[in-house]
Amino acid sequence: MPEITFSLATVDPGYQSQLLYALRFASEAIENARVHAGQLLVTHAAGTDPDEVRRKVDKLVQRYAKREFGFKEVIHFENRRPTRNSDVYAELLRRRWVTPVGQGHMILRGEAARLWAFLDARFQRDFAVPLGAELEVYPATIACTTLDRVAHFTSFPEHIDFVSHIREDVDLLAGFAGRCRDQGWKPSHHDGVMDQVEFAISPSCCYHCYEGMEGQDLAKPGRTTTMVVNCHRYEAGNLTTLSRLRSFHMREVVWVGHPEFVKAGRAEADRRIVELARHWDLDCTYENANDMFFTDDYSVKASFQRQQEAKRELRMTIPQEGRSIAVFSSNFHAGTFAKAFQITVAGRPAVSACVGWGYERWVYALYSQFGLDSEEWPAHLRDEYRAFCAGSKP
Amino acid sequence: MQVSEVMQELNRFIRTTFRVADDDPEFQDDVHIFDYGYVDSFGAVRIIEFIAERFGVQITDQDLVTHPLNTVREIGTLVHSRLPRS
Repeated sequence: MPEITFSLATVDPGYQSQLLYALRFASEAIENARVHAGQLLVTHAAGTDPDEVRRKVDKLVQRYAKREFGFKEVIHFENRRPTRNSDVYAELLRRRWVTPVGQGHMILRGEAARLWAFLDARFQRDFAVPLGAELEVYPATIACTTLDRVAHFTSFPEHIDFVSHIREDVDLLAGFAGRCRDQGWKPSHHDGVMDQVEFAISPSCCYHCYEGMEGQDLAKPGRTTTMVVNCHRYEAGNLTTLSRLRSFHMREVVWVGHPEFVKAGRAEADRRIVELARHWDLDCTYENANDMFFTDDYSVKASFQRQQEAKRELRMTIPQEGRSIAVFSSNFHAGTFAKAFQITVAGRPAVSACVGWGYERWVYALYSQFGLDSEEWPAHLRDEYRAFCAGSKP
Repeated sequence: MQVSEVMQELNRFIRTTFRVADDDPEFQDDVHIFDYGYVDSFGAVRIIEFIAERFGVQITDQDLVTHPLNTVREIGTLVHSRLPRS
């Protein structure tokens, strides 16, 4: 396969893994990309125009080379412990605890599903309940007009799984059904029969939360809510095991209100997640982070986020993959979302923050670090899980 | 130029540019302008540009990582310390 080389001299090493991630969305011709000795090596499909690939990759490299607010790295908590190093994913498939059902779509069952439920119960008990969060239940899809208002399209256009339907027309419907009957379903059967896109599958938990409070003047100090949403993000070639899925479940706790209330809520969640990581003896770090904005103003947004510690992540080591994944994030949005929906608190503009847990990642990270046999897990985690399985609360 | 004058100009710029209500009791020299939602990332870029244009002081990447620059007082103090002495 043809290979093109790019210099990474202007890209901070801290951003290089994010650049590699973003490259998967740069061109359909890109087959692989890796960093070696300070250079970016990109292989592309034979027969594709190398100049066009180079132009697109250059555009991304430039995006990551700027650093308006520097690259601030802060590790708030770190715990290292011996971990396993085995092909957990293959074993999960073999036991049928996990079954892939399409690109980035997984069924969890048996013990994996039980661990998923245990985690949800634990995070409800030790975060949502004591933090006073009210439960809200949201649709799986979200209006594109809402995503537009929260500027999702300008920050993460690459992620969105759009939703549409066949137009209301008996001929089109009968034609589509007939083609499926005769030939089986094919993507081309949709040509010319689909309506315009109005909805997308929720890429995140909390957008409905702000939308639901549109125009409200909240009583001081504000509101705390919690929800679980099956989120979707298109990930191109970045899908791996359960580390990165296209369809996944997240719980969030969201604060909307006065800045002091929102900051205090987020700080308490930060404190609790570190306490939990220590209690369960996770191999992890809790550190500042940034979203992987897919936009030309990536640098302004990402470096400012890091500089202000507007995003922090609990990252758990995945020994067999030689990297870590974020299983929990803590995000301060300032006035961005409240402003988009004219939410105030006692007459002043509100601000917001949220914390979120990615459940499939938690399941995968725990199995990766400690193995599939819960009897061999760190004592506190094992005992809590055992109690949950016995029917008592974790 | 006194530090209070620098802060006054910064205060006025932020109030005008980011439409802070005149009667907002929380907008003080020591309020965290980002946490309180007055200024976002693009607003921060505009403040840096204003400082370069009005005071001739360059705020660098390194400054933003090493100095707390979240309030009018913090920003004003750094800008004042970098003003050419006459």
